[in-house]
Amino acid sequence: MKRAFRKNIFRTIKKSLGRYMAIFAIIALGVGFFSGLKSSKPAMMKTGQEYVREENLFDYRLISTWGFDEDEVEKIRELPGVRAAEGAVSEDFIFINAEETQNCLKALSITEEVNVLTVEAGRLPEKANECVLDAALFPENMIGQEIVIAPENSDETRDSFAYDSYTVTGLVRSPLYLNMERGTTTIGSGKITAFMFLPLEGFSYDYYEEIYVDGDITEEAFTDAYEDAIEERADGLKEEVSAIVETRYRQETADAQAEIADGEQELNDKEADARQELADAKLELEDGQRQLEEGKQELSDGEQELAEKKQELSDGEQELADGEEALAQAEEAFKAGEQQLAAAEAQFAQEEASLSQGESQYRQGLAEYEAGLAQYQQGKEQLEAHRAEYEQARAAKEQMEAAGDTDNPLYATLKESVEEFEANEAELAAAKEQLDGSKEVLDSTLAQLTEGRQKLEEGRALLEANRQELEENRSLLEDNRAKLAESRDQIEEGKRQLADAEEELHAARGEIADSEQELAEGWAEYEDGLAELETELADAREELNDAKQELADLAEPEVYALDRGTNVGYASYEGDVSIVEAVSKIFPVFFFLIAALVCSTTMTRMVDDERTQIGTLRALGYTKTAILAKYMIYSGSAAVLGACVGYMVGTRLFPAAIWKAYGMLYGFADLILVDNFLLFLFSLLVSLVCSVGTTFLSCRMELSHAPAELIRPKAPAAGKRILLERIPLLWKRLKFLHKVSARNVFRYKKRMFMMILGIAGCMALVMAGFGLNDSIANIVNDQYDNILKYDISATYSEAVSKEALSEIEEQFGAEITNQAVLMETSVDAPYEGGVKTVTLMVSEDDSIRECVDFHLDGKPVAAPKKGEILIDKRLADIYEAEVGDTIVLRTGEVETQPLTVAGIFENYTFYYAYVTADTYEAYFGETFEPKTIYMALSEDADHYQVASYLSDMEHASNISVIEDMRIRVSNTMQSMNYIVVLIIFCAAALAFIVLFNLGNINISERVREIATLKVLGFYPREAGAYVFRESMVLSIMGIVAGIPLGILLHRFVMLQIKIDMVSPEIKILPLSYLYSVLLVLAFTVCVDVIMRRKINRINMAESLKSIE
Amino acid sequence: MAFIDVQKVNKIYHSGDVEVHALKDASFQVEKGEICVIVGQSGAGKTTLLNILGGMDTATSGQIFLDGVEVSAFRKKQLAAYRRNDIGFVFQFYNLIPNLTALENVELASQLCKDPLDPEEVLAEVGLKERMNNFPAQLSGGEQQRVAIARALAKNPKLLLCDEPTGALDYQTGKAILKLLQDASRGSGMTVLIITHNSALTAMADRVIRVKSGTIAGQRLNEKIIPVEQIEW
Repeated sequence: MKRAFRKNIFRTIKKSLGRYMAIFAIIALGVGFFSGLKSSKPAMMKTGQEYVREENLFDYRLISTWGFDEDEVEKIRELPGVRAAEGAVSEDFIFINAEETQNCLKALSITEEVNVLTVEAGRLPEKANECVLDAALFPENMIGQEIVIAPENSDETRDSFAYDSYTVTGLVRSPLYLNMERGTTTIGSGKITAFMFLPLEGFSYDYYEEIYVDGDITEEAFTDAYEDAIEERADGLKEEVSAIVETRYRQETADAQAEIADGEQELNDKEADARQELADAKLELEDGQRQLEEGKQELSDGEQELAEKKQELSDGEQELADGEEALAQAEEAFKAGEQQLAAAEAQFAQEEASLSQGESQYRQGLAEYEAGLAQYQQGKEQLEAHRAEYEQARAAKEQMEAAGDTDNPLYATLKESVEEFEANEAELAAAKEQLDGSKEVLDSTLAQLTEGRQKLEEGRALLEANRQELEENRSLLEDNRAKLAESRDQIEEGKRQLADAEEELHAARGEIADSEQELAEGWAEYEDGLAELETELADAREELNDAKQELADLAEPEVYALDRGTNVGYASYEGDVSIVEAVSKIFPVFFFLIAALVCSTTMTRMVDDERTQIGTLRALGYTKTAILAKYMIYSGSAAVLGACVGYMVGTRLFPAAIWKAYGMLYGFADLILVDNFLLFLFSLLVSLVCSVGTTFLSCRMELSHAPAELIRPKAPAAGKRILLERIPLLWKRLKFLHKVSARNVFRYKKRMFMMILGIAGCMALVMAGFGLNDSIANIVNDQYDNILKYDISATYSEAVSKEALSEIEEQFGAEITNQAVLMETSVDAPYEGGVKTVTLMVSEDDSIRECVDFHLDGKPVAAPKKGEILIDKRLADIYEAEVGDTIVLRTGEVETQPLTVAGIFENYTFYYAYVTADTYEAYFGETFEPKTIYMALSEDADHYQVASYLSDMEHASNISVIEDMRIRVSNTMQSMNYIVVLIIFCAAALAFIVLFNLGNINISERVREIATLKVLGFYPREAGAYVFRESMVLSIMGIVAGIPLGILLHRFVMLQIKIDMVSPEIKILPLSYLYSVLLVLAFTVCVDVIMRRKINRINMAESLKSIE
Repeated sequence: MAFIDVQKVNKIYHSGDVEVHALKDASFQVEKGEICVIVGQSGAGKTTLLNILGGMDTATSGQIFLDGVEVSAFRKKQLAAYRRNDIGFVFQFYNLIPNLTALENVELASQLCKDPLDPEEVLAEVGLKERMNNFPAQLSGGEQQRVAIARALAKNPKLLLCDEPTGALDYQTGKAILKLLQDASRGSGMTVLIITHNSALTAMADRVIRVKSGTIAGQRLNEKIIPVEQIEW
């Protein structure tokens, strides 16, 4: 190459640096993007491989249904193709963290040679009661704390651990967990939160559950060669291990058989003994029974006797009482007799006295009478003596009377003497009469008295007899009394005797009752003993039968040799990492296409610019090849430089950014960059094809012209009418400058395509970037605003009571907008490719729909009936199920009856299904226990306050605030932003390069036009608009074209991203469309602003120059 | 004061360390309605003069008045307005916008200024009534220059500046163009300034200004104006 020629090239580059840079930049961008994306997967693969190799991830994981013992591990270690083999155990347990929520941790035994742990902080355990924790999920301040095996764990779980608590000594990563997936478990919530490693001695175990084998395979992980190597050895290894385990199986089954036989013998012996013993006991009891009967008879005889005696005694008593009564009566009578006698004596005495008195009175009366008689006699003699006088007096009187000389005082004295005499006589007669009467009385009295005296004498005799009788009675009475006292004594004695007898009898009765009780007890004991013996025997027999059955059922030990494909982290790593590769398939094509267009237009323009120069050179005698070489060197050098820079930057920037984004899934090691010379070579080649190839094509056309023609200025491209002009209605309304722009737009088809493609690509990239963000970042919002509408989920260890609900209602009634009580449980969903863990929601009523919105494509999904289930779209996709199909779920190992899919609802994270309580009980065969409350709170409610209240309630086991989860997920999604930024950066670069290039070409091509317009008096703004209206129109066309492209691109990228945890909805928010359009327009405007300055610098004098 | 009054205009270009004195104390006047031919050899400074007069460049010192307005005092923006409204420009290479038809090229200019003439009429005047809707590429050189003149005239400028208007044309076409310019000046009383290196053209001018090495070598009024048809070169 001539010096001048070389100089020319350098000068050209220097002069047209913008143009050179455009080629350089677009190639750099294309190569950067291509090599960056292409090398991301290898870099990540390499990182994974290195990590897996360094930490010595197992090649085989041997599992036997019989476990393994130390000898077997030893034997397996000796097998060919086994470099290391280590037995391991693991146990899932519930751990209550500082926030008092239940977590399930997986405790694994530390293996030394295989699955080596990387210590992130602290140190490995040195003692059996020390442990290390999952570095990805625990903060460093856990070191030194205790991990307590919560009392909530089953006994079985607790028994698996040698200690109740373990001291955390460090945080580690394990190659067993490449990503964040920690797996599921049968305990607690069903989801393992994190892992924990302890020394083997920290477990209490009989057999190793599994053996991790280092298969001594040199092939790199994740490669087909590795898979082949693994597969090649797997069957052999499995058989050899099976043989080893089978030896133990044979030994153990033989032992078991012998044991069963022994057991049977023993059982039979024992039975015989026990039966004999029981029979003896029965005999004894029967004897006792007989004795008791006798005793009872005796007792009843005694009782009979006693009763008789009692009767006798009571008869005696009666008699005694009668006697006493008689005695009393007799005494009474005696006393009455005595009294009578006394009265009679008194009467007698009185009568005697009155008789005596009467006698004395008689005597007195007699005396008086005799006196009276004497008197009378005297009187009578006196009177007789006086008679004669009287007879004189009388006869005198009678004369006088007869004479009627009554008045004579002799008469009164006569009369008085007569009357006196008569009265004396009468008186004497009366006295005589009286005396006679008295005499009569006296005589009667005397008779009476004599009679009385006689009567009295009779009475005295009677009295005397009575006294006599009384005296006799008295002595009789005395006798009776003595007799009675004697019989009373006798009765008392009898009574005493009776009491004694009774007491004796009572004691005997008690004794009998006691022995009866004793006997009953004896019988009961006997019966119990018998029953016990029977059940014991039945149990023992059953046990024996079970053991026999077990032995019979005992399958030969199954041995499984699992490879890394069963490790979730390892298995998903390759797939997840391959996402980038898928993306790398279409982007670079696009970039290189644009690069080719940019090179082509640029070089065409350049060749056009230097047309006269080319002509001159040709005229001077330079060959076509030499001239072509200049341009090819020009574009080629730009491309080589661009490819180098692009490769250097791309292969470092892209993998780093992508690794950063993957950090939320895989953050196990620092990225190892991989340089791939072939990739570089390929990029370079494509770049050269794009640049040199297009240059060649554009130059060849020019050079095919004769030099003479080249020297003359090229006729400017003819103006052409465009399609738009055929619509006069529209065309006439356009301003000229708009018309010019419109015509310009279509003047250079290649540039138009470049521009539209470039901007469309930019638009598509930006949209894909924003869309990526929308789809992933909005999973959170969609999930927690539109599907799971509750703010707090509170799970209790027991069914939620009405009291608890009303307590909550009372406390937070105003804050709670919706509430549902349900049962939330994990079930397995087996499908062709494996098993997914599904959160099954079970509720009795429809209230759950207030908290969980079952909808699909904006339409609500109807509630399931009995036997029906609602499943989410993700599950439906996995099952390939449609409404009306039936699916089978699994709880533990038990399969449900087929459930009819009644509806499919939208959901983005995890897997959910919903059935009613009666379906659950009928189809899952378990009891419905609503232990969970979903609560939607009002806007201004303090979620944490409610949550803390709920967690303080009784039986609270897990209170989760959705806000927390939302923040957590959002944070992890943030890493996605790196990719978005990277994409937007690339899009911007693309837009800038294309716009710059086009602007540059347009301006350089239209310097004359622009200068002329300026001369014509265009203001700078107008002159700028003349050029930029065009690029603006093209930009808008590009944007319009870019929108469907963006949607497709975004869809494509999203389809590649399949993370198990989430299934992003493929969507771009309207705002993102707006942002994308604005961003691309901003790029356009930005380039315009820079370009305008260039236009302003165009000298008007250019217009005067001749066309070169 | 004359219609155009150029007083002691100097123009110095700096290019690196080198100073080029393109104009030295150039002074001249042109009256309204005159056809003035500025003649001089390549590099004499005619184009600089034209640039300054046309508002495309500014003088380093000195004053320029057009119709009593001091152009030399204008700022950039005012200069643009001045070009827009007061100046018509005819280029040696026509400088038509290739993407616009003849009529549209004229309209492009006429739409810019305040008091334009009807583009179609102007085009008819320059004899292109039939080719109005043709694109420049479809027109011959002379026709293109007619469009350019029509474009300049349509603005109804105070001053029509023509830079070697015949430079790219053949003899006959060149004559026709000059005739057109002469007619335009005579017809509408427009002041026309023609810059050329061809002294033969001085015969058609009212006023002739000779430029030599950046200085005005002389200016004279042409006593004997010869119609364009009779000029030979």
